[in-house]
Amino acid sequence: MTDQNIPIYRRGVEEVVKKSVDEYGKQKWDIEHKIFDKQEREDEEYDKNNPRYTKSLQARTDSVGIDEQIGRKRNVVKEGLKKDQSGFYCELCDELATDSLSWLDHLNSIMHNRLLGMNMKVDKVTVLDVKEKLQQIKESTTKTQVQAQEKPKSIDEIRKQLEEQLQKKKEKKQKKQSNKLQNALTKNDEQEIDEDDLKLKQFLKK
Amino acid sequence: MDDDEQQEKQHLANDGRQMTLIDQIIRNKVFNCRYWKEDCFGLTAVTLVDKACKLDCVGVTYSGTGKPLPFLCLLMKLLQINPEKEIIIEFLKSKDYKYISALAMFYIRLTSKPKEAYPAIEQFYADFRKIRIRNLDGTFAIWHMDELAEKLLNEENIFGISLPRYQKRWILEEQGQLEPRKSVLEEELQNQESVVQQKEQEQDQVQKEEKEQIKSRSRSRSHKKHKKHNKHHSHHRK
Repeated sequence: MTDQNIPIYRRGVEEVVKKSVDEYGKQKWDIEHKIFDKQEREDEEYDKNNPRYTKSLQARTDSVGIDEQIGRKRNVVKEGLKKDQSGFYCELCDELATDSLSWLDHLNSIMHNRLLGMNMKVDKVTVLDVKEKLQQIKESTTKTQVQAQEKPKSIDEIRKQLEEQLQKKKEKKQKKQSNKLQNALTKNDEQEIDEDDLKLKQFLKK
Repeated sequence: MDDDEQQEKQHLANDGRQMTLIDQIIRNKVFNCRYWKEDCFGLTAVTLVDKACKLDCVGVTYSGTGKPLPFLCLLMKLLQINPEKEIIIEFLKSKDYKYISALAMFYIRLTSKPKEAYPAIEQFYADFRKIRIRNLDGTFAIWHMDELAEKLLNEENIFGISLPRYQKRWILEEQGQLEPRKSVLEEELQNQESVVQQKEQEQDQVQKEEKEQIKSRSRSRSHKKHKKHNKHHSHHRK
């Protein structure tokens, strides 16, 4: 059958052809005989030659940003761009999630990860990788413990640090006060000028 | 019915449908929880170690609504990614992180056959580290590793998870599939026995010597008695 002969409503649909009938009347079907659209065939060939999502799936290392928005204020538009509406906005997919769980669902979805260039399969891991990882974690924890043990601060060091902090605070305060004074002086000049102007105006009105 | 279910469950272990080992009600709770969606996405056996190091307690669900704990989420993840046996054994060996080995114990109990699971979990009969445990009410308790191992092997239900049924140990031993368990105390026992035997031997020698002495004494005694007897007689006579 050529592609032109297939009616439109049957294009791309799998057609199964009856192969044979059993002695009991049970029918066998030839599933391998399929009819495809012309374009569909080309797409399949293209996919085979150029695989698109070659990167394997990798876990997120940075936080998703659900807890970061607690206690923040922001202006929200009821109707308008998705970006300005309330909720979590994905810039990649231009999608808006109103809920934290649906936001996570979106981040885990196939479409989002395809835009990042990943397919949904995970790398295979060997035993040696796991051994290395366990050793790494062990070493890092021991390092932090050793660092904590190595540097017990003496009282003099702590006093020095405190004094430095106090000095910094004092300098900051002095800077602030000097700035305030300068601002006040400039403001006073402006106000004086204004007052003079007012007096002039009032005088002229009279 | 039960046996059929058990057989099914054991088949599932190698079938790629391991997630169904945990009941559907608990499974759906895991899929809807935040920890699963946020932290467990795209984990491999290597990146799972990072999460498992930070575990606080062993448990499945807590509170009235049955919130799943991170321990259960990671267990489900292990069932999903289905790592090699060697990796799980590596988890078991990790002595610095007890919750990782607890995780591996659960995994082995759920997936592998009793022939392999008994010796793997029985290592922990000699492990007395404390573990924090969260009950179904949400209250905490302290167990030890050997308690957990014992309950995993001998009970059918732990924290609301129904475990696949195992044959009793002595049956497997009679069939010849398993060797009798060697306890860690065995060496000490043998040492003690040898010490006891030595003592017994010494005691036997002592007793023999004593007997000989007694024999000699008896003669002397009888002699003395005889003398005394004579004396008494003499006294009475006076």
